Amino acid sequence: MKKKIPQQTIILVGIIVVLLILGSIINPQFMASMNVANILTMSALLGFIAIGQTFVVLSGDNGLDLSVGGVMSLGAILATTYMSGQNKNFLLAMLIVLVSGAIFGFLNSIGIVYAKVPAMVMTLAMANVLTSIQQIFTGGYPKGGPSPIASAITTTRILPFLPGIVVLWIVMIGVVHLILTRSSYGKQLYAMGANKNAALLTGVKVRKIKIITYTLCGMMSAFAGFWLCAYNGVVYVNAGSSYIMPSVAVVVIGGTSLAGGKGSYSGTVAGAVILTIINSLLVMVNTNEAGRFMMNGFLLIILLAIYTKQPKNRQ
Amino acid sequence: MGKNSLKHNPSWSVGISGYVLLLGAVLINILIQGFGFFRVTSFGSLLSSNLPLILAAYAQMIVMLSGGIDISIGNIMALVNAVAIVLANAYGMPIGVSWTIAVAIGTGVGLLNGLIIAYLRVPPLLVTFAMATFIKGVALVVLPKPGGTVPKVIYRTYTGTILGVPTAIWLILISTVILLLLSKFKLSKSISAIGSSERNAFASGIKVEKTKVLAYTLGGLVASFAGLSLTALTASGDVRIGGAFALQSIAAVTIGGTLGAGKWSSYVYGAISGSLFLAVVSNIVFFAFNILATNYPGMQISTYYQQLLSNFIIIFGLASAVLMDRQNHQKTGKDKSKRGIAL
Repeated sequence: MKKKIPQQTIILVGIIVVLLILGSIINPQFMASMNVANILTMSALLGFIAIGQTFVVLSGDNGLDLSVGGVMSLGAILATTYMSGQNKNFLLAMLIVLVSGAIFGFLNSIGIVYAKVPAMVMTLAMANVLTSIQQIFTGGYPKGGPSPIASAITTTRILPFLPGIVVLWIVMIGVVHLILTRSSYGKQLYAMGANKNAALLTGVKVRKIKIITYTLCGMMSAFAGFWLCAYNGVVYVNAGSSYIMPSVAVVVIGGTSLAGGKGSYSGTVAGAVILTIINSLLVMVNTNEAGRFMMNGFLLIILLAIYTKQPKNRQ
Repeated sequence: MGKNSLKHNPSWSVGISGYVLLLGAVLINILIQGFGFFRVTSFGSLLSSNLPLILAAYAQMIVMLSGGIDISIGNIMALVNAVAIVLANAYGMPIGVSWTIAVAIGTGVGLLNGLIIAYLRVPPLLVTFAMATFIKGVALVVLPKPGGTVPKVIYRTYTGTILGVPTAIWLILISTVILLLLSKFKLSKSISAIGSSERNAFASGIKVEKTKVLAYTLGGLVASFAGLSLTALTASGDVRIGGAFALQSIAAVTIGGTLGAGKWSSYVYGAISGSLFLAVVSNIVFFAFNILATNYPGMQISTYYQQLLSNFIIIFGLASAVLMDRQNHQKTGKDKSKRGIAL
């Protein structure tokens, strides 16, 4: 296992380098600081939503959260409504967004832990509920807007290629890494994902850890929604739905096993960057929506095939 | 293993949660709607508008029985819809030819899914998601804007009756009987065997890869028919309406209460009762809100509340289906095999 991780890192970095070279060949402006800043900002949004997804997948037991898009959209809508374009509302809006995200994550965990609904099905149903809630809350047309501070954080560049939100992301990467590797929660999460029964026997409170994990996932998805609102300015119902499957894909591309217990957030970060670069390349080459869907699907299959190949099932 | 305990347990009782839920929902529906529920027209329109969901659930059930999952079913339906419409409208092909080609393409997508999943060994959730994205693009190339028509005779027949019985009932009967007959073949046994344990299936000489490919291909074929029935229902082409069916079909199969069973025929019964449950729930909610609106004319309730309510009922259905299934297992005792949705 020790041997495998550096190899994965090499592949991931290799893919990023190849993609960057490809981009520069297609368009000399690809590596311009403006474009790099854009790519990093989009990666950060995907990275935020993938924090929770990484935790959930690590928890094992076919863990998966398909409601992240719904929670993200709700977060964006709450953010735009409660900030309503004013700086004094920034913290209050952030608090509302985080709490509501946590509530829906918690509801997911109750269904999964106590009613024993498979995680994927439970979160899918929750995603539908969240769509209706957004529509009822907004009447179909969200009002308000991000506060100037929030927009400034996403657009102001500290270095030519480094917007404020990416600095925030880098800080979060550090924090998440510490949580996963140093905290007792992180250790129990890995133990539970690797072998639930063994973890139970060594005293891991499996239910409690699961509830914390899904609640955290909801919170981080809503957090991502907050920044989606800040970055886009305009928000619509289900604005985050396009992030659902990518959030799973980047976790897997980043080397976290869907079986749970193995993986890291740094891999997810690399996955987020890779997927964002691919999208950016596709926008550059072909602005046609249909073509973009096709290329995106095709490249994802290729990427998955070279990267997530599972061992052959032999005795 | 599951096989032994199932012998003492007739297949109908395994996925029992689906029937209980469906029965409850139908009773509530009759209470709300009155016996008008049984009129041929209202019953027929309930079934004809939900036939695409039932067929999508059948497609999903085959794949889930093999231990996989297919997210691309909704987009296969959309692609089939687009191809069938465009070939007939823009290229003037006869309906029979254009619809056959559409089914062939939909089945081909299933085959491709199966090949990638079985031989490149990539998790099915992600493969079928990527495939869904890819064929969404293809469908948009085929039919960029909603439009096109279907000959009158087709949608008239589809929503009408044959020999006094709604066409949808005939179609449901035919598809169910065909699927039940499939349980007599070795293929269906191999599919459920790799679903309960790939390792054991391999050890007992089943060709795991080949069976997987066949399961996804069969899923694609059934999903294509779901796409055709959607085409007959809407009588036009629109690549954006199919997408939601993948998720609904997963919910239907789960509510059918079959996650713990692993037998072909009980999966078939589960899939149909689960999808009918979903259909009846939205019917109930629709009529309940209708009653509210007629009795309290001042009240303006948006349709969003209807959706919210039916979504909550679905979650309730999911939870009770899973719980009931678990109890059933504890009763039979022996079945320790854990079937989940393999990703």
